[in-house]
Amino acid sequence: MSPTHTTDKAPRKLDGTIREQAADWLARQQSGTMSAAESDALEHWLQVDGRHRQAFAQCQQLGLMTAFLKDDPELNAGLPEIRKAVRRRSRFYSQWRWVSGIAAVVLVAVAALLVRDYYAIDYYQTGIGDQRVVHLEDGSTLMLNTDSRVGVRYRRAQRALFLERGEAFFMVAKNPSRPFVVNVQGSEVRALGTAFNVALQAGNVRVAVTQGVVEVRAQDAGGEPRQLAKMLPGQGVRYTAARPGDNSGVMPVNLEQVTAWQTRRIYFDNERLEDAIAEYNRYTTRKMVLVGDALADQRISGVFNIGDADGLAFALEQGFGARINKNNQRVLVLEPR
Amino acid sequence: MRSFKLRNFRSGAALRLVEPSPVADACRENSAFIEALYSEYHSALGHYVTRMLPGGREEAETILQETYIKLLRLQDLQPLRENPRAYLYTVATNLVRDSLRRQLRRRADQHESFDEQDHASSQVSPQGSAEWQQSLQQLKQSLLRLKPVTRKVFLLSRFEEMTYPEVAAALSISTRSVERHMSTALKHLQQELNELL
Repeated sequence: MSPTHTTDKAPRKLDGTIREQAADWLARQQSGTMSAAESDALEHWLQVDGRHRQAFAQCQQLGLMTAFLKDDPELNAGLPEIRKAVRRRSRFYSQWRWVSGIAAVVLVAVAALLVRDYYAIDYYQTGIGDQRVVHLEDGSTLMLNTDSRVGVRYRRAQRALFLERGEAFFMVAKNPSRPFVVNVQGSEVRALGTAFNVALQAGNVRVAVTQGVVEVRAQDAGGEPRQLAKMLPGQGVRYTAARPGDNSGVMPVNLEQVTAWQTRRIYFDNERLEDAIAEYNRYTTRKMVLVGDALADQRISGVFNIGDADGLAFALEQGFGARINKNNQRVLVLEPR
Repeated sequence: MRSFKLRNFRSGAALRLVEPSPVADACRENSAFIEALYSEYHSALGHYVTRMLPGGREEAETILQETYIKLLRLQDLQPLRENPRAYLYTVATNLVRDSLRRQLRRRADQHESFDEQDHASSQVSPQGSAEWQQSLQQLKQSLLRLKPVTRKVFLLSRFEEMTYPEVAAALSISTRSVERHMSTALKHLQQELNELL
């Protein structure tokens, strides 16, 4: 290939147009959904002019440099808390991508064993769409919902659990001398003999009690642990993990709705359509995508089976006149014509 | 290993020069051209690279050497002749990027231990040369000047390697808007950090 498209007198500094095109191309490429034709077009765009390649490389460079600011408190301040929950997973995956095959499996297994022995935290996790029941050594039971991760560290004085992402239901074996404490991003949900549900989503924590008494403690602005809520069965609380002061107070909850996932169902009670779809998407990698804003604020009620795209799609067609466009990767929900 | 490569190549170039043929003449001419370019841009490129990575002048020098080697290995000098500056900066930037990726990976490895502090918050103090720190500061300030939603999209994507659908879900926006915000952020950063680039 010997490009002759450009002149020898190409300007030395890149002009704004090239920079803008480079930004568009990189943003497009990063989506991971470029068609073959688009890939060719990008390849061509890079080939025809050295300045295109430079601008593209520099865009990548800026993205990479940004990753070095990952621990900057000011930049983190505005981010939704979800990032903390996915942080460990993404690290794990990003490493995973670099090593492959059996060697990686062995490495990870060995590392996990070492870490486990040393810190004595057992981690249980589920992938998207999976659920799992774990019986713990003290007789308590842990049920993990989709895409969730819980660490368990039992010591003599305390049973400490860590909900790192997702949602779990805890059925606690009674033992007054050994409190059962679920840590959620700095706050604590404490229980004696009880059953309760804790969900962590986009930095918001939802606790609902089905049995016994549950107390939520979190640090106040001064860093002192304070009681946030004390709840009885049928009650719950919602709060922001980063600012527990930002909470709903004790409120009644619909236990049927909260625990529906345990029978692989999703329960919508006058839910915004956009939120309902986000909820549906928690359980599947074949995401449902709401196109446009027309339907986002509509309300939906009903019980659906987890992962049943057809059922939900049918309801959206019938109820809202939505047009559905399905393929193996995703389900598009389009506005009514 | 790098110095080995360099030496190895130079001896290769020297060998070729011995043969009295038109090919050898062309080679010599090309080498001279590259040599001249390299010394012309050495200082500016050195400053540029120093700002782009943590390891200061020393690491930058390594990148410059690798850049030089890449140039000497070129089969077709046409793109280089067309726009030497763009070409040099692209090669150097790509090498810097490889190096940064390695360093990020190492950092991630170190973070991967499940120590107890991890459940609170672990802060890693930034390190690196003064130039690098300054670039990161400029970058940070520029990021802070982005519209909040654009910044969130960009940072979630860059900090957590979240995919567009994941970012979209986290922020309740469409993946299409994620792409738009990514592009907007990149345009803004390029414009504001023009001096750096």
